[in-house]
This record gives sequence, structure tokens and C-alpha cells, in this order.
Amino acid sequence: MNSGEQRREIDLFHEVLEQRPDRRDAYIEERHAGDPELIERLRRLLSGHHRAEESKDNTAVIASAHGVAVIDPTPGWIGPYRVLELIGEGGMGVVYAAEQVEPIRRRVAVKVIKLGMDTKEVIARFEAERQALAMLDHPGVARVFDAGSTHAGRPYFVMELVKGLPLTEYCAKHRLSLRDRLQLFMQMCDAVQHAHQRGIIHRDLKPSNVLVAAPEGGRPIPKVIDFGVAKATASRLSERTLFTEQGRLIGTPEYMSPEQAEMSGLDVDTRTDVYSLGVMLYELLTGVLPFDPQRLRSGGYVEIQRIIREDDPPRPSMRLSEIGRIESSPRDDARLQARHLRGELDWIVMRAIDKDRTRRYESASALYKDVERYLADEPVFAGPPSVVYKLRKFVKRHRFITFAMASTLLAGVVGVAGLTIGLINAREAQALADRRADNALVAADFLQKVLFHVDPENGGGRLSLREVFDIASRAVGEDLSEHPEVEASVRESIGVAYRRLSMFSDAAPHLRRSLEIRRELLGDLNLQTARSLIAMAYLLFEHEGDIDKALELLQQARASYEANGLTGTSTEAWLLLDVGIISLAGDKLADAEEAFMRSAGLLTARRDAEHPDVSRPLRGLAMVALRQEKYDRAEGFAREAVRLCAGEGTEYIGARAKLVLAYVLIENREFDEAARLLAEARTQFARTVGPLHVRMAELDACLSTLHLRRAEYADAEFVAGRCETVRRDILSTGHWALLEARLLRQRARLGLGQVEASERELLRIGDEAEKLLRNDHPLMIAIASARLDCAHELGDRSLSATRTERLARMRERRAERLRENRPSGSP
Amino acid sequence: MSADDVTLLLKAVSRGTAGARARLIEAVYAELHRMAEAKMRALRPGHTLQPTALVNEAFLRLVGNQDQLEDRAHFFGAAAKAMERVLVDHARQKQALKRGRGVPRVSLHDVHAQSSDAHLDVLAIHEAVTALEQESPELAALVRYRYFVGLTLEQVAEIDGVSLATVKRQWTFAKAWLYDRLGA
Repeated sequence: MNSGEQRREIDLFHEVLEQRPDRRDAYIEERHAGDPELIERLRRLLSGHHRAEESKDNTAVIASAHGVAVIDPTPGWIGPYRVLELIGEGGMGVVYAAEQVEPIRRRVAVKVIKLGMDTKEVIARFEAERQALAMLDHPGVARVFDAGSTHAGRPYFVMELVKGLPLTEYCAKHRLSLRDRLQLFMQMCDAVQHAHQRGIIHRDLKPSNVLVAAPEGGRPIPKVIDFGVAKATASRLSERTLFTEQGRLIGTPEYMSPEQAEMSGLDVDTRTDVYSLGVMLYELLTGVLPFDPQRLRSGGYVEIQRIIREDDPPRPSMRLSEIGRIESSPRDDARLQARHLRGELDWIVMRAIDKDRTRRYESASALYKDVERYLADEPVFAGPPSVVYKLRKFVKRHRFITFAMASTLLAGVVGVAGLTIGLINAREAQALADRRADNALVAADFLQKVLFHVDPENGGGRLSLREVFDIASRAVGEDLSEHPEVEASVRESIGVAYRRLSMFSDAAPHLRRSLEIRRELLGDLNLQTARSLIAMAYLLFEHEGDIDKALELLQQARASYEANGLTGTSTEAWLLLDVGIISLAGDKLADAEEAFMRSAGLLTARRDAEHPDVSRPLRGLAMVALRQEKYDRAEGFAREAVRLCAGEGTEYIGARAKLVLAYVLIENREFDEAARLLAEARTQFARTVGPLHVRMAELDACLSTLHLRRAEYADAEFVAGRCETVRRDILSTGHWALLEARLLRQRARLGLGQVEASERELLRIGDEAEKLLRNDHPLMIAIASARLDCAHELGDRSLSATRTERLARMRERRAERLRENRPSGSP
Repeated sequence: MSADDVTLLLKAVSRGTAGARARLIEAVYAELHRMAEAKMRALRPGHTLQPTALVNEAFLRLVGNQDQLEDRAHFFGAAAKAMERVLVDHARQKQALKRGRGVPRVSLHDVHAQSSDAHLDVLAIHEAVTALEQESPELAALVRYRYFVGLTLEQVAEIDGVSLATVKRQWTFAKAWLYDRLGA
């Protein structure tokens, strides 16, 4: 049959299909009377067609080597939902528009696993995803209504069906002004952040995945769709099968971050979404993409990768001045012009799409806040890209500061001047009260000098908040040298502010100087000095990981407690608890044990033995025993800690105790009870601290460990990913707890057979950990052990041998150290 | 086989050089076979290979950034046939294994899942599509794209440079033809 004949037969067959089903046979007879051969062929085709239609739920199959993956025909019904049409397809699921009839009639979107993809692992993953999506409750995200499984057992879930225009189309159609565009964008950031906080990374943000719905007369609402599709597929697809990346290669690589484009499939995190948001902002502001799509696509994939990784796109303002103006921008004054973008908006966009993700905004909310600051005419955190010295020069040139900035700092410093210190003893209090009035005046003067001696007529740029702190940082040494007590307070304030901005290297000199001044002025044994010491210790511990130094400072604080008669009080018990926690983190088990014991003793004496607070040191003692591999002892302490938290108002510490007990039980292989405790603890944390919290991350780390022990690798990976997301969001980049989360994730991926990827990432984790931790720290040992497993999986004998030896050495060293088992301070 | 060799072969196919297409299929088959083997070794039992991804990856490896639209169509056409062979080989191996000793035990769950799916098996489609090729190489190519590579209709339309509507009509027809044949 030649192709002309073929085409004709296809046409004839479709003519038949256009008839009502019950009339088709008759139609064939009538239409082709006299051509019995054709009639026969069409009849057979028609019966084949009906058979194809009937098999509906389980027809078109792509055979594959290990099983089957399936292209879905549109099913008639999914559960109680009548399917209307196919609206989207992801790596493992398909989405249909469908109609719900009861209890209310409405249109919904139904996502169902592709037939043939419903292996146990994918189902587990899909389920985990559904639960995560169900946690999303945000106007900017399509809601999940319902879930179930088809009669064939394929799970599905039902979401809000969003009607609206893709983001860019909406902006063009309505010719939105700059301000409206930015507000729309902020809502998107907020929705994405909401998801990030629940451990969901989108990975495929682009205008067509943001639908803008404008309710009658209401404000437009962007809805992010397709959430979790990419995430859900990640563990199977990533670097092994390239599906997502390939899908995008065929679709739109324009929104892909460099780390995503690398296709290593490694370690894509929330900052990937920040990048995609940045590209969309670029597009909203200029009407074009950072990289010209035509040029991007003219080469092959290698060229696409190269461009995304290496080429620097022009700043939005530059691009806009080249283009002239956006087609779709408003005609009037609100028109988008290059001069509106110059400076801060340029910075914001360029920071969001920085090739190095460590220089991007660390979260969608940080991006949100900067856009918000821009709109409120406040200084933004983003600065001109790259080098800090450039920034400093800029400060020198433009000594102009806005009132908003001034008042921000004012609030801080006045707060310091009026500080009431918790730990003032009676004698000190009177003298301090006299000085405080003077000090408040000095502080106000300082503010005036620092913040208003700049010339508002001079220079056109505004300064970032960071620059304001930088100015204050410099001025504080010069202007307040006469008033050291105020200087110490201001420095403490600045130090704490920097710390809150995660600018730890800037925080350190201020806190250090504040400590120096107080030492000199008030003496080593003053309680304000002690306060500085404790603040400094926590900075060192939490953010620099310098455990030894942190402990040293706590010892000094303890000495001043002693001098001020606080020995043996519950105040000292809390300090001892800090000592214990930091010692434990440093694997100084004997020190930790001693501190926890004394803390428990003091609390028992000061309160009573049954007080819930006693559970805190008990928890610590349980962790110490766990580290010493004395599991029975650990279980005893942990159970006692849980028991003490049975009463009212103990939800939070109760949950923490349960978390520790769960860790112990995992070691004792009592998995079911551990799982139950973790579920309870999750509920309690959810009620007390919410999802975005270090405790929730700790809980996830424990849960992931449990899944690993049970060889439930997909779950382990999902939970570890969530832990990592939260920790990334709230901890500094180099924090060891982040390494723990990353390690757990790689352990899970190893279990999933993603060996090469794990190997690469474990190497990185190991390198970073070496900088933070002693070589025989348990986390180092855990990393070494994972790397050994990796070598086994790779089948590399000599590598296995090397790593076995290395691990043995580390264990030996640790065992030796623990055998000594005496406090590091004693001889 | 290097990317350059494959590019030369693609040019030869474009020019209609005798035997070039067969050689191209061989080259792609060798690569796909190698990749599939490597992946199956790395994957745990129960995993599913993604033919689409394999073919795309092979495209990247063999053609890389020297991508021309016409080459792309030739490549994918050849790759679909090559992928078919990889899958048929594998299915035959599996069949042989089942008949022979040392059969991996199949859990009740697996059996249930397979029988309720009543899925079309690779060998049956292979046989049917070979027959269809006699009648219409074009439709056979479409079936291969769909069943053996897993391309969507949109992707097929893009590769072949025809409209989506046309591909849809062809697909409806080809499916009816196939089901008639398989049902017989």
C-alpha cells in the first residue's frame, strides 16, 4: 500500500468513527457497497478500535526491559470522578480534568500513577508525595481534595482544577504595571516557600506552571501547579534515566538552573526553585528571557549546558534599554522602563539567578522579602553582584541613607540602651539604673551621628541594610570609644543582628569586642560578661562548629556564676545543660555525662525529682549512653525522660524525650515502637513549633534512620530530603547538621541503587565534614562507613580495602578515646 | 562508534546511500544494548527501564550537539527500531529463562499485577508491527515510537515534522489495526 492509499484509508476510517457507534456498521455497508474488500478491512479496523477502546485502563503498553511502562489512554472514570480530558503528564503520573458529581458538582484535576509505573516503590513515593501535597494549604497552590485508588489498585489524588492564564500571558494581556507584576511575583514566592517549608521542591517552575486566576473584580491570584511532579519522580529518574531533564530539553531549558542542567541529578535543592523564580522575574520585568531561546536551542544539549553554566546574561535594565520597551507593558506612566530596573531590581534578579547557588537567595522567602523591601522603598539585601570590596567602595561614594534604614537600626540600638538584664544581682542593679539614663542619651547621639552624618544630596543609590550595618560597624569604634558600656551593648546588638542575617563572620568580631569590653570594664566575673560569653559560645558552636572554644567560654561563664553566688542554683543547671549539649556534639562523652549528671542533680534538688524539666538532662544522659553503645542504660534514661513528661504543658519536651527514646529503640531494633513514638512526637511538634523548625528536622533525621534500617529506601530518601530542606533554610551553610541530613539522603540513594551519584556526593560531604569535625567524630565515622558501602556497591575491591582500613582506624581511635573515658579537663 | 561516525552515517542516510540506514540502526543498537545492559546491572530487581530516556541519552551520546532537525528524525527512526530489538532480545531471554532452570521466583503480587493488566507483550507487538511495516512503514514507525520508545504523540509530530492532528489520526488507525491483528 503506498502512502497515498494509506492516507485515504485513514480518512475513510475516521469517516466511520465520526458516525454514531450504533450506525457505524451500516455506514460502512452503504458507503462502500461494491467494494467488499474495503468493507472487510474497515470492519476489522472498527472491531480492533472497539477492542482498543474497551481495554481502556490497561491498553497501550510500552514494553520495557524489566516490566512495562505505559502510555495511558484516557480512562472513562477514575474512582467516582468522570474524566473529561488529559491536561498534563509528568514522569510517573498523568493529570486529567474530571468532574465530581457528589457531594457537590465541580470540576477537579485528578492525578493518577501511570499504568505500569505502579511498582511498590513508586506507589510508596506517590503516597509520600500525596501526603506532602495534602500538607500544602496556601492560596497560591492548587489544593488537594481527596485521594483513593482505582479498582485496579492504582492510587490517585484529586486536586483543585485551576482556571487561569499562564503568568506571562496574563501580564501581557492585562498590561500589568511594574508594581502589579512584582506583587504577583511575591505571591508566587510565598507559595513556593510554603512548599519548601514542607519539603517539596518544584523543580519545574516556569510561567506555564503558574496560572493566574482573576476572580470577578478581585485581585489576581497566581496558582503554582504541577507541584511535586518533578520531586516525586526524582528518586527514580534523576541521573539514571534523564527523563525530567530530557523532557525539559524537548520543552524549555530556559528556566533550568546550572546545577539542574548539569544533569548529574545530584543534590538539587530549594535554591534551584529560587533560580527559576529569578528567571521568571527577569521575564516579567523585561519581557524576554535571560538567554535568547533561539540561541539557546540552536546548539545541542552540550551547548545548552554550556550557556546555562557559563554565559552571564545582561542585567535586566541593560536588556530593557536594548529592547526599548516591552510590548505588553502599560502605555502610561507605569510603563516598564530601564531606569526603573537599574540598581536594586537588577541586583535582586541577578542575585536570584546567580550561577553559584550559595550566592543566591537562600530561600524563596528571602527573595520575597527583598522584593517587598523594594516596593516599600526600603534598602534591599541584594547588592551589586559579586565582590564585597565593590560594595565598600560604593558605600564610600554614596553616603546616603534613607530614613527607613535609620529607623530599623534605631529600634535595635534604643532597645540595647534600655536593656534590662535578667541576671543582675541586687547590688549591681542600683548603680546600673543610674548609668542607664546617661547611656540612653549616648546611644541616641551615636545614632544621629552614624545615620545622619551622611549627605542625602549626595549620590543616587540607596544602601542595602548590610551597608548600613557596615557603616555602623565602623562608626561604633570611633564614636563610642568614650562610652564603652554603650559600645559593648551596641556591638552586641549589631553582632546579634548579623547573626540573624546569617552573616556569621561579621557577627563574630562584634560579639568578640563586646565581650572584650565587658571583660575589661566589668571584669571576667561579671554577669553581663557571662551573658556575652554565652552568646559568643553559641555563635561558635552553632555556626562555626568550634566546639572546644565554645566550651571554654561556657566554663568562664560558669566561673562568673560561681563568683556571683549562682552555684548550685537552677540557673547553673541550665548552663550545665548547655555544656552537656555542646560536649555531646563534640563527642566528649565523659564531659557531657558529668555535666548532664550535675544538671540533673541540681534540678532534682531545686525542683523535685518528678519535675518534667529533669527530663532534659536525662535525655542528654540517654544520648551519651547511646553513643557509648550502652543501649540498656540509654533506654532506661530515655524511658524515664518520657515518663516525666506525661503531664500537661509538657508536649514539647515530651516530644523531645520521645525522639531520643526512638533513637535508642532503633538501635535495639524495636522498630514498631520507635515508629509509634515518632508519629506521636510529630503531632506534638506540629502543635508546638510547626513544620519549619530544627526539632522537626531532627525528627525527620531520626525517621529517615528508621526507614533506612527497615530498608525502606524511597521513604528514607524522601524524609531525609525534607530534613535537608528545612536545615538548609534555617542553618548556616557549613553546619554539620546539614551534613548529617545530606548523608542520610545519600545512604537512602545508595539503597535505591544510585551508586555513582552517592559516591560523588559522599565525597563532597566527607570533604566538608573534615573541615568541621574531628576525624573520629561519629558523623565522620558514619560518612566513612557509607563510603565503604559505596565502594562495595561499585565492586571496586581495592577501594573497598582502602576504605575498610580507614574506617577501622577511625573506629579504633574513637574506641581508644572512649576507653580512657575521663573528663577532658582532669589529668 | 563516535559522534562523528554517527553524524556521517546520518548524512549518508539523508543522501539515501544504500545500506546507510541499516548501518545506522546497527550502530544505535550497539549503543542502546550496551547502555541497557549497564543500567540493568546497576538497577535493583523490580525497576523499570525507561526506553524514552535510553533513546534520548543515546541521542546525546551519539549525536550530541550537532543536532539538525532532519538528522534527529533519522536518528529517532533508527533508534526506535534498535530499541525494539533490545526489548525483543530481552523478552526472549526472559522467556528462555522461565522455561529453563534457575527461574527467579515470582511473588504472588507480581503474578497478580501482570495478569490483571493483561498487557500486550513485547513479542506480540514486535510480530504485529513487522507485519504492519509491509503495509505501511510510516504507521509501523509510529507504533515503534509509541510502544518501544514511549514518545508522546506531540513528540512524534515534532520529530516527523507533521501536525499533531495527523499523528493522532494515524495513531487511532494504527491502534485499531494492531488490536484487530492481536485479537485474531
